[in-house]
Amino acid sequence: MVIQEFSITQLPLPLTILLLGGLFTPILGSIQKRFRLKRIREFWASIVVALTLYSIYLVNQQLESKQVLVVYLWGQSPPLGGSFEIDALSIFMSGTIAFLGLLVVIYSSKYMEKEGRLTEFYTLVLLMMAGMTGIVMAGDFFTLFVFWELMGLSSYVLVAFLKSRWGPVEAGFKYLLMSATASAFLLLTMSLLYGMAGTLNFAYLASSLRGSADVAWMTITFSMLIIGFGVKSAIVPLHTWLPDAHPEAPSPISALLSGVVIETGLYGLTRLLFILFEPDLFKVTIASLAVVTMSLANIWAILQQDIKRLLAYSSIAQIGYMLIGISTGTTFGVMGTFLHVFNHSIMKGLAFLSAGSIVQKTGTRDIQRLKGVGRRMPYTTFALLVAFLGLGGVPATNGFISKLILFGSAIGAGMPLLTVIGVLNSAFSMAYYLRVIKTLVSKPEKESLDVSEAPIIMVGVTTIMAIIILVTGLFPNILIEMANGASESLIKGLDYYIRALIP
Amino acid sequence: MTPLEVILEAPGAWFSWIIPIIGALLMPLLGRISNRVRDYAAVLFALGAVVSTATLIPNLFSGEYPGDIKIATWIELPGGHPIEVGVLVDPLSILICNVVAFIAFLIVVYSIGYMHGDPNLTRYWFFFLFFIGNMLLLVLSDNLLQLLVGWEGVGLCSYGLIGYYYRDEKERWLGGPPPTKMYPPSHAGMKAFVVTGIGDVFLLAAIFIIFNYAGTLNFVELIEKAPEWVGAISAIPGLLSMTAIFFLGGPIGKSAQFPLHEWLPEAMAGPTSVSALIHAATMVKAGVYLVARISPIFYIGAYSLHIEEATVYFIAIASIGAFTSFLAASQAMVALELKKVLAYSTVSQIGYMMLGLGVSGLSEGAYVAGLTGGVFHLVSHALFKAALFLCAGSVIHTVETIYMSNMGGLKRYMPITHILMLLATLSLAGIPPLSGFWSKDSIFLASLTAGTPLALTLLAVAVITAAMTLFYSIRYISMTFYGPSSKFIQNLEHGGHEEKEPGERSITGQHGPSTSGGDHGGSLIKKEIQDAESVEHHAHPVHHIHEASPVMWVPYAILVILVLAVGILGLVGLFAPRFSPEMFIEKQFEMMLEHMEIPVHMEHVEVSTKIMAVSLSAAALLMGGIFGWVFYIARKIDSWLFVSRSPILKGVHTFLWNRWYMNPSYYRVFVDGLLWMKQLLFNWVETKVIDRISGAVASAFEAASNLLYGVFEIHGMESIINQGVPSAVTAIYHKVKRVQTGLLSYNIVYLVILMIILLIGMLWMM
Repeated sequence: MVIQEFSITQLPLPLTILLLGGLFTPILGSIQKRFRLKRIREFWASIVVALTLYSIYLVNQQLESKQVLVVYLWGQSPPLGGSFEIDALSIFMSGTIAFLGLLVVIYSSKYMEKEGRLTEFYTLVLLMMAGMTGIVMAGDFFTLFVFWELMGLSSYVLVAFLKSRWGPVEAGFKYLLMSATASAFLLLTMSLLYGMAGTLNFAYLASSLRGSADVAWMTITFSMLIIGFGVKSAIVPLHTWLPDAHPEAPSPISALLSGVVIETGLYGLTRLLFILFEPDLFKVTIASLAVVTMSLANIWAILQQDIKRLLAYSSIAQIGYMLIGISTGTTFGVMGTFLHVFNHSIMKGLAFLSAGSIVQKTGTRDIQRLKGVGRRMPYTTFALLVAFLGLGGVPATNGFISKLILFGSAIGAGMPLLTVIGVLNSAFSMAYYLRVIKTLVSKPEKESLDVSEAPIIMVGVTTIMAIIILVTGLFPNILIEMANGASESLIKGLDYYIRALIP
Repeated sequence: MTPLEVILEAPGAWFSWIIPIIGALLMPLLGRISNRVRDYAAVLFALGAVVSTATLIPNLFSGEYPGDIKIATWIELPGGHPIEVGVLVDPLSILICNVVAFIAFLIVVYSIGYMHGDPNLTRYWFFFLFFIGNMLLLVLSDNLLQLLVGWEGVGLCSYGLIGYYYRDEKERWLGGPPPTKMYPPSHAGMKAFVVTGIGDVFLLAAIFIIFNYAGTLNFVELIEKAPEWVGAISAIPGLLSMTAIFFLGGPIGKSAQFPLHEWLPEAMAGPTSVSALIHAATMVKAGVYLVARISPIFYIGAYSLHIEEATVYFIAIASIGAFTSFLAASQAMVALELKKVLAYSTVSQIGYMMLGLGVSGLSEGAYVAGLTGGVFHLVSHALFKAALFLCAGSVIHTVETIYMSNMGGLKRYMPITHILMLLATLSLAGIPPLSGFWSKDSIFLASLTAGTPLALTLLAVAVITAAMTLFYSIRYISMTFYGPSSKFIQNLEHGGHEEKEPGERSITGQHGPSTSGGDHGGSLIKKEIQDAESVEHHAHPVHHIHEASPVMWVPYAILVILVLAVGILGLVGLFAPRFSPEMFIEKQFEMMLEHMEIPVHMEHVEVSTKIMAVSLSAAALLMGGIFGWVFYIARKIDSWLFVSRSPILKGVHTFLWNRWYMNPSYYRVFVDGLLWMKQLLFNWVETKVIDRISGAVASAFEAASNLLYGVFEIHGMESIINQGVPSAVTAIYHKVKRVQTGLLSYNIVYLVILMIILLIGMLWMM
């Protein structure tokens, strides 16, 4: 409850580490070049992300006695100045981001080995993570927007990173244009809110605008918020950039994009919706978006021949499941959403990483041509199988637990139809997951399939992730507790933030 | 209490499923050491399960059992709904887990002989032991979620073992003979997976509803709290019926009841030992078990709370059971594959069990009688049907054909198997005093006790089915063991099967009508079993049909002895009721319900009712027996000539041969339909609609903006509208795919469309 200035840089500690890490990477890059050293950048990036994870733990310890930590950006003070607000939800989201980030960076150290311009790669990855961490810790809309653009800009370049081919450049450009349009919507929303409330600070916005939804401008704000955040979080029909961008990006980046970037978009939407509106207002809208998103994405996914494109559509479908939790507006439902955010980040991250290993070894993304690869790459395929079972919601995986909560919450909120559609979708989605696995383990067409298991670092990362999926599927209590704290801080904790800032 | 103390409270209930699962996981390791070690270890692990479950038997006699034992909290949901890990040891679970473990053990022993020499035995043992573990976990679970884990686990093993011969060699296909369609094992496995999966989705939805209203999934708590939450559900009209029907979806799929029964006949593609254990004796009974387990809730709903809707559960399951038993028995009368006849018969007999459990709730007094009937029949059916399948496995193993028309006269060659299979068959047919007679009789008795018009109608169906059961029993036993040998057998015996001529019609002539079947005899497909026998066969061109080895016949001999023992106890029980197996089970249920504090009003069964039930059985036996005797024992009339002479009978035969046209229509609708939908979606939605909608929207958008700025660009309009013209669709689709920038503008249009839709939606809501 106390306003806490615990960082000398006036920024939250994890954010400081990531930003500094990102800024120092080019220097290390030039040192590496000059002295012909090996793997300095990879090592540096891993250390930075690991330190971030540790610092999030430290911040969490500070948080334990209080409901919310507030950091003023460079000594300014609300309602006009920028600020950071760290609560259990920020910790949960930034922890998810850093955790997946760490695994991805370690994986990249081997996967991206043969690519050029690695200095830029790691700089951008760290800055993208800084952007996401900033978003989930932001205490006002303006700060959120600044980091939103930081995340966006880094990710456009990363999607188009393999610029020697036309596909990635095109996909990156499409992503850029669509996101920029969405950002314009966000900017307009901000100006509207500022015009109405005279501030962009979440606490002040909540105390002055919450519940005043019958004002016509608030209705417009609501629609524009969904558009603005919806593009990044790939809500159908705003998803169209995603099936191009995710497959074309390098696999570690696909993992980050699907695992945390689109969920960060969802976080933004959720945060703003709960700050500005009563759940009853957005219940039906979000529920219909959930139905449209998961149903259409699953239908599209079943047609795909490209394994990474299939995973991209599956991500959209999973966003649909997450929307179910938000549409309930209850602590239980939102808990399901954020639990699924974490679980999905591991599952989809794993799916993209192991698919990446397979694609790198075979040189094709066409599922038909991957026949029999599973027999040559047993560990990677096993990891992919676990990820798919999790995504399909099979018991004993963490995906089952979060889907159970999500679908259960819909009944609790009086929307049994949503549950039935969700369960049917979930069952339907198994069809395309199993199809991929069946192809991978079936007999190879030519006997001498020249493929070998992925390098040990990559196999190590994917195996660890597979184990995490199973372990958290069997013993989900700790995660449920954390997600519940996050969800409570979103719904009930808003008052703490208001009381912390507004006397 | 520490976990150890909890486990020691009823160690058998825990070890029984932990031991086989550990065994399954060890199999790949043991396989590396040596095949012999692996095989014997599998027997040991199965024995461990039997010993563990057997330690629970004394509880049945002492009348004191531990009940619900919780060991740990598994998932803790905020809001105070912890889901725990635990076992529920009560008469129902003790009875069924002992049957499962015991039969599984015998079949593991049998498999040593039957599967001898198979190169993929590690996989076989893995699935087999994993199945035993999961099945026992399912039966002993104290909550629905844990049960579901076992439920899906046995489904997985079933899928893996149906498709055991996943290389799909031609001789492993089943169905046919041509022109009837044949299916490979992997197809059969997928079919089972998909069909049972449909049921599971509904079960899952029902569990969600129950959890939401009851706040718990523990069986004991569900029953204790039933007055509150069943009342709460029934406050919404229709919801309780929906929950009941959805819930039954799971058991209907798993236990192969109409309309999800079509997977079981194909499930025979796996090794026969698997058919015996999973698809006859145990897994398919999981549905029956679940129906019985959850029925007290609806019983309380119907008779303590007087909620009319709660009886929907019983009405639905009784009707489905009776109808399925009739449906499957009718198909068994014409099937040509020995295992398929047994499979239809399994579906039919499970229908009886469902009927028994269903009538239990049709009137207040029939509850215990119905439960007893259903569960008693479950136990007795498990014994004789496992024996039948194992016998059939021996027969198929030695004659290398799956078609009964290629058998005949095997009595001479396989005397032991003949006697044992005959006894098991008589039990299936319900001939007194074998076990099948007593258990079927107790279901009839329960229906009579219920006495409602529905119960009596269903009873009539069940009696007709009993007649059909005896008929097809006589048919298959006669076609297999009696009469002269078929050409196929003679060739096998004298010349080795390579010289097999396109045979004449075999003695029974049951070849299906020419309209659907053509000349089946001409293209019979032999089934080779890849094992030591066939290796031996290659060495000696003359194939010798012989009795099965003791490791194979001893297990089914034990089962048949048990069938006889239950039968004799039943007979003794007429005079000394405390020896009657039926009375024993009934007493267990009374005790269990008393323990659950469910008020049960037992209706006193009049002697006249008992006599009525027995005479109904007798009438049915007489009816079926006469026809069976005429056609297959005395062989006075050639059944095929008899059928082909009458157009009506021929039509009926075609109808039955094609499985009431259900299987073809399922394929037509669901498989072909889905493929068609997929094509449609791809052609139409992906290319036409999306393009057209986006084209139309883009043009509308463009028109609007043009109007706004007063500049009308005829060029842009034209090109966009052209994209919607169907004739150019394919070309444009590819163009659009390549030229991504063309789509991008639409994508941004989507933003605007959604914005407009949202605004309209919000305005409409306000």
